[in-house]
Amino acid sequence: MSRPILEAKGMYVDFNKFQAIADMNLTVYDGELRVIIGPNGAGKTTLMDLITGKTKPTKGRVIFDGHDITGKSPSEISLKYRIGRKFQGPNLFENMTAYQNIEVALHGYSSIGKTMFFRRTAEIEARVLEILELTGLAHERKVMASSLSHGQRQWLEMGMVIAQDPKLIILDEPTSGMTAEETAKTGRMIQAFAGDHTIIVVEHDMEFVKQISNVVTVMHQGTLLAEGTYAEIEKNPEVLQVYLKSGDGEEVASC
Amino acid sequence: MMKDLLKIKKLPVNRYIDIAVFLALILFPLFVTEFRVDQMCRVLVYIVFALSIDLLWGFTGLMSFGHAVLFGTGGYIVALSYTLIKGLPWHMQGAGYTRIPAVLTPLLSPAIAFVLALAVPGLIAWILGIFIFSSKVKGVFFSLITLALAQIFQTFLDGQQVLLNGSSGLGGLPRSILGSGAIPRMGFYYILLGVVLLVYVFCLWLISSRFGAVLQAIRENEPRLTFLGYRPNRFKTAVYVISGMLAGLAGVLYIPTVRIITPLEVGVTLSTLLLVWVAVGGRGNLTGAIVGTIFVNWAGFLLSEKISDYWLLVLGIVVLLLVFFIPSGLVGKLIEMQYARQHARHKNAALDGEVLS
Ligand SMILES: Nc1ncnc2c1ncn2[C@@H]1O[C@H](COP(=O)(O)OP(=O)(O)OP(=O)(O)O)[C@@H](O)[C@H]1O
Ligand SMILES: [Mg+2]
Repeated sequence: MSRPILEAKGMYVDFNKFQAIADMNLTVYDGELRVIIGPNGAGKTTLMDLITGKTKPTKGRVIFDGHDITGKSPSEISLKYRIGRKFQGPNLFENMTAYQNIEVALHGYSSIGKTMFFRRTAEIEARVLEILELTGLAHERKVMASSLSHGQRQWLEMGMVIAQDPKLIILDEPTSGMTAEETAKTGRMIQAFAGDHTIIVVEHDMEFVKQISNVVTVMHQGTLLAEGTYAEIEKNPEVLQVYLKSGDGEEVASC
Repeated sequence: MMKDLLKIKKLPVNRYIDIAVFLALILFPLFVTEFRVDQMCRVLVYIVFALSIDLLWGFTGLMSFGHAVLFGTGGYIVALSYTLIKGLPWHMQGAGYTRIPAVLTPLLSPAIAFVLALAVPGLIAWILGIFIFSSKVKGVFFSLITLALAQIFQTFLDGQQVLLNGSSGLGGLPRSILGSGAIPRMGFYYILLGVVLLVYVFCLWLISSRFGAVLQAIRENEPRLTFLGYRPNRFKTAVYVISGMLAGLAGVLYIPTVRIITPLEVGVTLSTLLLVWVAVGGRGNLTGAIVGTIFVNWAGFLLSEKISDYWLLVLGIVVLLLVFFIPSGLVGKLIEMQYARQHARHKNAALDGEVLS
């Protein structure tokens, strides 16, 4: 096994006394494609918020690529430590074209001076088009994000993450609301990125998990429930009880 | 042939309007009375002011209710300079001064006054930006603070009896630029138009740059931008400074145009009117700011001549109806229609398996 690139150790988050995350541990290895599953409200998104700096933990440490990034700001984590994130439910610049969405995300030009004297060279245009091609949006490049279909919006945000050129890619429910065909296409996209990136995918769709997964992490009530290959997880009685059998939305964390 | 047509189609509809408006403005003085030329000069100054708020409000989504503070600061600095150059003004003599106080002597140089008239509004915007944008409170907070500021500014000017002649303001100013002699009306009109064109080109460059894209991204979804390595507060402060300096420039141009400046003229009313002009024309495309300013001001001029009693009421109702029924503004609506048409064509082409470039 290669070296760990991300280690979240003993994480706790309280939202007004409600423990959204309690003693959660996660280790992801360099180059890995990790899937995180868990019922609604298990704390998957909150864990991603901790890693990307959106939420500060009450306790615990996040070590990324040898640096302690606990409590750092989202802009620093994305710029300096290079973690890119696609949010649950597309989070885009609506009244801007697909092309502009990707261009704004393009890594390396985020200071004021660099944005003012940014030159749209042939290489940069080619790079943006390449990403649009990769996400199946080349023909939609002049279309406003708000006019794209739901699936295309998800892909556009994945394209933005690719444009950030991150070391770690976090995808929070990339297939939610997609047709079976779109889901399969998304799976192929993720596998294409997987070669040279470390990826964490939060998912609900079990077929999809089966398609892309290597190691699966199962969360429940803010903590780690199980970890292993899909085959192992599938047979784990605890997991079956809280997740696979109950379906979505049945589990409500007690508060 | 077909390719050329497609190429022309690529320009957004509002850029044609820009060209048409500038052509009309070039020809305008050749066909009208001097009085109308003077009126249009005032509108040209307001266009610069409107472009400044469009950068801040239209593109970045920061609605300032006090932009006239920055306009007025620029205006008053130049007005004071012009006043002092004529000699010790009587309102200072009345307060017992026998000569111009040393602190004000730099203003005897019109060039220094000009630089200050841009720099001071920029500095004010910078300080405000740093404080307001770094605070946790967002959105409407900015509007409220700037509104309060507009009120404070107006009251402050009213109280400056000795320095700025209080509510009567500074008048009798020459139609000159940077200490030049009096400029003839026509020449002055075209100088103003030249400045408007330069400001427009600058704004166009700025919004087409990546910086401009980031501004729009702030308007669309500021939190998202922080996950792409940006620090939006810095951009907000930067655009506020740029916008503030342009507002200061508009204030500078106002002085030789109107040749008098009073607290009332640069008070809360002007700040609010500014938003009305841009809302009527449409935010965030530059053209709307230009068209809206021309439209509302000329509607005001002409209505006040035709119906002297109720013109403001009539104008108010027209503006209200326009903003209510065309919330994206006159030009904004045209741009939306063009996009809807192109998008429909694009979708059909996609269904036919064609590729649009
Ligand atoms: N900002 C917040 N304030 C208060 N409670 C919150 C906040 N964010 C999340 N929670 C709560 O924390 C728990 C975990 O939420 P989270 O969104 O992390 O779950 P999830 O595993 O991503 O669920 P889903 O599958 O529905 O996306 C939920 O009970 C949620 O209501
Ligand atoms: Mg979630």
